[in-house]
Amino acid sequence: MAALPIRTLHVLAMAALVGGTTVLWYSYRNGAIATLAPARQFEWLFWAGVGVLVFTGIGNLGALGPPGPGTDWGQTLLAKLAGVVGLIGGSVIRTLLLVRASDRENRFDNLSPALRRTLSRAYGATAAVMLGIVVLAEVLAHG
Amino acid sequence: MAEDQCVRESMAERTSGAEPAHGAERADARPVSLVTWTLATFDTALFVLLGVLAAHASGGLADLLAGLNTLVGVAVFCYLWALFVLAVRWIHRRVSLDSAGVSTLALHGTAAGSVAGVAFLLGLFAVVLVPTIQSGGVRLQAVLLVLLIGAGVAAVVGSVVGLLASVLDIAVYGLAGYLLPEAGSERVTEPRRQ
Repeated sequence: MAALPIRTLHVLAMAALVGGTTVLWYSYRNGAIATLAPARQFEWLFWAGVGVLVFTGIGNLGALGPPGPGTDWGQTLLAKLAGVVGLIGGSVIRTLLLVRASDRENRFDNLSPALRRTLSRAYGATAAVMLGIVVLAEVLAHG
Repeated sequence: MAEDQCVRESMAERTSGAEPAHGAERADARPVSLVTWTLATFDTALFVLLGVLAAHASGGLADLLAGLNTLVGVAVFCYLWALFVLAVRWIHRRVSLDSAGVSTLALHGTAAGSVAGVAFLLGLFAVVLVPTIQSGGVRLQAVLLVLLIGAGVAAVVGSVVGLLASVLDIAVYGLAGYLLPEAGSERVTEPRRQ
């Protein structure tokens, strides 16, 4: 009964995070955003989304009844879980880098090119890893 | 003159959508700071994911999840998440990640973890056992004995988790500072883009 709402929430949270990180990657890359404020706002949403993804992900697994790690499906799940651990490990560094940068940067000044490049790379890497996780999720869902 | 400057800065801030630069000002505006929210969610997610990874790698994940109702699982996760947020907020209100030593932060993490561990156990007990006790299915003395032993174990497990989480938090905070580009160095040296 709860499986469909949980699955829907999982997909929506992932879509929001992939969309948000891709927009920030592109915006910092081409200079459309010159402040840290939009990224700071997004980071609140990002971590809320991570929490939602984790509990809905486990809810999905409970509904599916995962086979053991020796099967192809189990190996793919192992890779996906490792990817998610890597994603949150990289993301926490990105968020803290942003916080430390915003504590340091002058609020009315444009970002330095080096910081903009760093943020662009960080959001780009996050989006790329999340897209990889989406591909693994597709494999798990449809074979 | 100074007042005009303040008005101009205030208007500039409103139009640009920029936040004040100081972490303390932001922390006052919300019940938790972005650093607290980030590290608490990171710790919770990592704690749960490593448990799931270990269970899956050992082949016991299906059995573990088979006995878990989805809504109960969501409630347990949210309760755990809230405890992590409260524990990390408690630590950050007492010690600063910037200036405090590793041992001070680790000590606070251990203390907060042990309290959170006991609180987690008590929450589960309250939900699972109170209805059973009310219906007379279990003797109160037996429950108290189990609760006492369980609280001791939960405090130890919580303190270990708190210690590891605080050390990890310090490490990622330091790494973020290390990866942060030098302030303003390229503003002077990099050629302007056409």
